[in-house]
Amino acid sequence: MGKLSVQFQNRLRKHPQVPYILPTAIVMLLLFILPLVFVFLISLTNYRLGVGLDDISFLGLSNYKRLFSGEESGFYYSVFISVFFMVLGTLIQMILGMICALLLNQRFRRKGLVIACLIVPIAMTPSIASQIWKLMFNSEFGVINYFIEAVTGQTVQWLSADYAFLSVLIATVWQYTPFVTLMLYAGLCSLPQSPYESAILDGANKWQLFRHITLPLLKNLILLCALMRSIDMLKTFDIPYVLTQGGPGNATRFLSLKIYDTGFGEQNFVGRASAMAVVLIVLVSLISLALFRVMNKSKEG
Amino acid sequence: MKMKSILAFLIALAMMWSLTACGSSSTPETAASTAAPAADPTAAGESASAGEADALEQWGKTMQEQYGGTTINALLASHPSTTAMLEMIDEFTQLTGIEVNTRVLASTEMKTMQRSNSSTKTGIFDVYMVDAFTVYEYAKAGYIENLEGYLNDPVMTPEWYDYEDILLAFRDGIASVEGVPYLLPIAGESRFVAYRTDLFEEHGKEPPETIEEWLELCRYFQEAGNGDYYGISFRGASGTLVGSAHMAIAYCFSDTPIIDPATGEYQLDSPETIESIQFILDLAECSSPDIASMNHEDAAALFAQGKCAMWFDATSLAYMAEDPSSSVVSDKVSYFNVPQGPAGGSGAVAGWSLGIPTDSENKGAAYAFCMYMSSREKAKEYNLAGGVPCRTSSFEDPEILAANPTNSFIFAAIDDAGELTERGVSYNYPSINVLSFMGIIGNEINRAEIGEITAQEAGENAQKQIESVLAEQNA
Repeated sequence: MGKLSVQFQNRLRKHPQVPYILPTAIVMLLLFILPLVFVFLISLTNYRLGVGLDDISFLGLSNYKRLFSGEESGFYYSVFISVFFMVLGTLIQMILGMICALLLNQRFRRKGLVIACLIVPIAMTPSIASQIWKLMFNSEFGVINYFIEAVTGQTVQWLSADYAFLSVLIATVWQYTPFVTLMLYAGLCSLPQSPYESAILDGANKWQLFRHITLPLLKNLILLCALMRSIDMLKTFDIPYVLTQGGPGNATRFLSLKIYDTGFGEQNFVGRASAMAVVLIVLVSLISLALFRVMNKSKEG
Repeated sequence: MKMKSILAFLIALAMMWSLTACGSSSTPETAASTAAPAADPTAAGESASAGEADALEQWGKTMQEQYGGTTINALLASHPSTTAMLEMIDEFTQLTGIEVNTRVLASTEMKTMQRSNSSTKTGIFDVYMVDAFTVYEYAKAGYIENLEGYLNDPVMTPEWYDYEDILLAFRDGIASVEGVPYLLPIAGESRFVAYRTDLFEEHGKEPPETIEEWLELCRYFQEAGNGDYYGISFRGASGTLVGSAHMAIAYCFSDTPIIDPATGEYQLDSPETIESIQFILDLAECSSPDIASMNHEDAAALFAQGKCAMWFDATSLAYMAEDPSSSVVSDKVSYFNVPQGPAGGSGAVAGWSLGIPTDSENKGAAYAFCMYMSSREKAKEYNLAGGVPCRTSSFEDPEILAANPTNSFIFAAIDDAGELTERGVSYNYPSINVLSFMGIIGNEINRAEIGEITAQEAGENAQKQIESVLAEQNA
């Protein structure tokens, strides 16, 4: 017993970090690693809810083969629109967010009120916000078409195959741009004033100030913000689920919706859905990794 | 300063209290009802004669002795019948002393919850509301209890329940598997078409006899409406939505549109089924450009707002067109059955039933609840509260028919459904895949609706996907 405790103490001395990271490591293992392994195992079977455990058989990699051979109709399309949605959505949110943050950074009255207004979309549950957007997008009695018709005399079928993607994008941008705005505004507020003062003395104009001082100083924050938004956008679910349910056709069937439809939305093919979920996890990890690399590089530079 | 912080604390406390009060609204309600027992004892016996009321009270006493104080949890779908049941819960609790907690979800979410709860045997729920399309699946998976024993037990099922009074189409069609009763029907549904009497009169049109005439009418009104209103609306969105709309006309084109029960082979790519898919696409052409993203509520709203000449959906949704507070056409609606196709009538039978999950720990109390809610004794009260009828006595009761004029049309539509039995087929074919495959077929039809693929391709794709699922299942 005494020997053991000596050994234990020696080990502890060699790795003093262990007791500190152990609780987190255990939580990570239980809540993250194990479910991941479980999802991967299920993705190798034909598991369905409601089918007895005896009737489940191992299929090897056949679920993945289905996906990549194109046998699963609409899978590649789902991956494509998910990535496209992520790139486009993040870009728009970052640009709009930056513009708003710069405007917010000016001196004006009632700034508190404006910030309070910006918090409204963030505070709203996406599924409720989407319900309201769904009503506004309605082609017969939606308020958006009411105004468009008043001005142009025509209406837009917002939730039809041609415009559904755009509608989801608009609702998402509305919901999440304020988040980017507030993050960047906080960054702007914390910037030191001296570089600006000396640049102004050197005769720099506003664009030059922004391009050569603000952007480089904010770069890390911008990248972090873009990283968070990209990951969120890639796994977007609630807004398209309420607005379009992935339709019409496959127009807005993002990967997350495709997984839900296959695994739970009355189709109940959990094995197949798990295979897609694994692909989504890999995709998210790769993209985050790439963005992290860029961030680290910019830090070193 | 100190005053201010105390005030702020009090306000925060009050807000937290109101939040928790909102969160658990269903429990205090039922608790309140037991706190004031027999507040309105007349309500229970009002509709029944004295003898029957005695029988009911006698049963209530027995239940009180056996299960009094038990709390059961019911998982219900949002449906007019659920609304009616919720109104009757207080009375049930007074009578039997059984407390009922309810959880009401949209049907898709509810099914996901049922599957995940039952496959992991959580035992959380004691009562399930089950969709006709999942009866076979649940029974085969061992999710729901065989009710034969309860039904044959005169204590658990007194005479005033009257099982035989439930229409055979529902007893057998939506609540039993291979002749074994697993559920008690609570809402019987079929499909029918609502139409605007004013438009039909104005244009000198009559309800159609055949399915071709129906399509002609849709085309006619689509053109006559000229954008002000459309020919027809129905649930056209992807998955089981348009999938179930398709199934409701599929039997007009073939006796075996999805599966041939004799050989067990699926035939989504058969010429007749392709024809039926094409028919849905033709109907969609006579509708709003949004049709491919419309669920049943959107479709009903379009009709209720006077934007359609016709509306094709479940009989249980008729209230959406009939309710004057939300419908501008409530006084000019009538209905016709889905017309005859080349192979016969539509035969659509759907609905909801109550059952007991096998992992429930309060099966007796749960059965008391299911039996009470679906009994003949309480049928009138239930129907008048908006519950969808499924009993012969309800459809023959002039008071119930008068309270909801659509009931007589519903009865006609359901009567029509009996025809399938004569053709030797059952609408809900015996397979654990009914709903999954309906989703697959619906997704493909939806793609065809927006012009991505043709009806032929939709049928072939669906067939291919179904075959791959079956191959996997048998692997």
